[in-house]
Amino acid sequence: MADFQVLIVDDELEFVTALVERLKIRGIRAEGALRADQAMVKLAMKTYDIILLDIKMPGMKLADTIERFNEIKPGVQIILVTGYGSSAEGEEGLKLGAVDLMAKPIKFDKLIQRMTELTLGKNG
Amino acid sequence: MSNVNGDSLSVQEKLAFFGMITAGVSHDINNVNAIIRELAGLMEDLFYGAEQTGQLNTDKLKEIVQKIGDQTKRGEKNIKRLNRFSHSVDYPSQNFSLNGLIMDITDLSQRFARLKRITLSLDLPEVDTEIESSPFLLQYLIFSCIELLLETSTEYEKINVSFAEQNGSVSIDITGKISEKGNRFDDRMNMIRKLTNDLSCEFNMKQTEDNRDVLALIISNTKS
Repeated sequence: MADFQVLIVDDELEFVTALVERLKIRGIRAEGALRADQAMVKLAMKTYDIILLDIKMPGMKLADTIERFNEIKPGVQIILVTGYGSSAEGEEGLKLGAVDLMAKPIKFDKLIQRMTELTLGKNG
Repeated sequence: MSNVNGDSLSVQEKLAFFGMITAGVSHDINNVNAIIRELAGLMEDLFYGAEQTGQLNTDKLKEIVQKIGDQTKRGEKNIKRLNRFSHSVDYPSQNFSLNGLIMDITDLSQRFARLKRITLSLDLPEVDTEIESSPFLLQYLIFSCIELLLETSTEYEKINVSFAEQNGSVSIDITGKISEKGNRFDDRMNMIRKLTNDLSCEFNMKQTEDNRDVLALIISNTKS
């Protein structure tokens, strides 16, 4: 399996905690952030290959957040997570450079597969 | 007999409110579902690990089971709240608990407040008051007042909902701080006026001694 580091950004503590733990059990390095500004601080201090970002979080404008993530770490791959079946905001996020859009509840195996594809594709 | 009609509002306006509330609750229930799915997946992972190692972390499992239980309760509360909201349109006018209604609409508004990073609190009197009115329109009115304050407040501001009964009338106060009116202020005020007209109640704005803005609704207790 490809070696990569994931940052999960979502305001639901139990969701982040459980997902981080499941990824770690599979040998994937994962951390969580409950706020977009916390994620920016982490991103500035550490390299993450993939960010899993909830599109609807308190005090956050999606476009500004994606832009800021790209400023801090150009090339970081962002997978958007939406609670809605279809989402205009999600589509906007894809236009702004996010690489994929997934709906909650997440299909875990599909998530692993997608993250592996993205990381292998990036590393050639 | 209550003096309630819904003549000022269009069907679209009523549907828009209904849709906004149900969308908010369904989003929260989906979050509960997503959490339970991850926790169940984690349990599965731990059992699989135990099959390999012969060791099972029972304390961890108990913790996960507790969390699933907590989320189930959260989901149940949401569903019951949504059910009560849905049934509020059953009759154009009915008797209902004002404590219960104000608690429900404040809870239903919490998600919108959280997204704006605003604290929404509620003060209920110890004694319940029963009134005869339209629970749907009254929830729409209270929500419209909360929404107006959410849109005109800065982050980390506080909004409080309270009510008191006095001399056969009920006064519902929604208190916050209007920092900037914005371009939807007039639309919000028009909606509030339409709803107060349909509910035959009074509306006025006032300020507290510490310059906080109060949207005050006064309903004559028309319970027959």
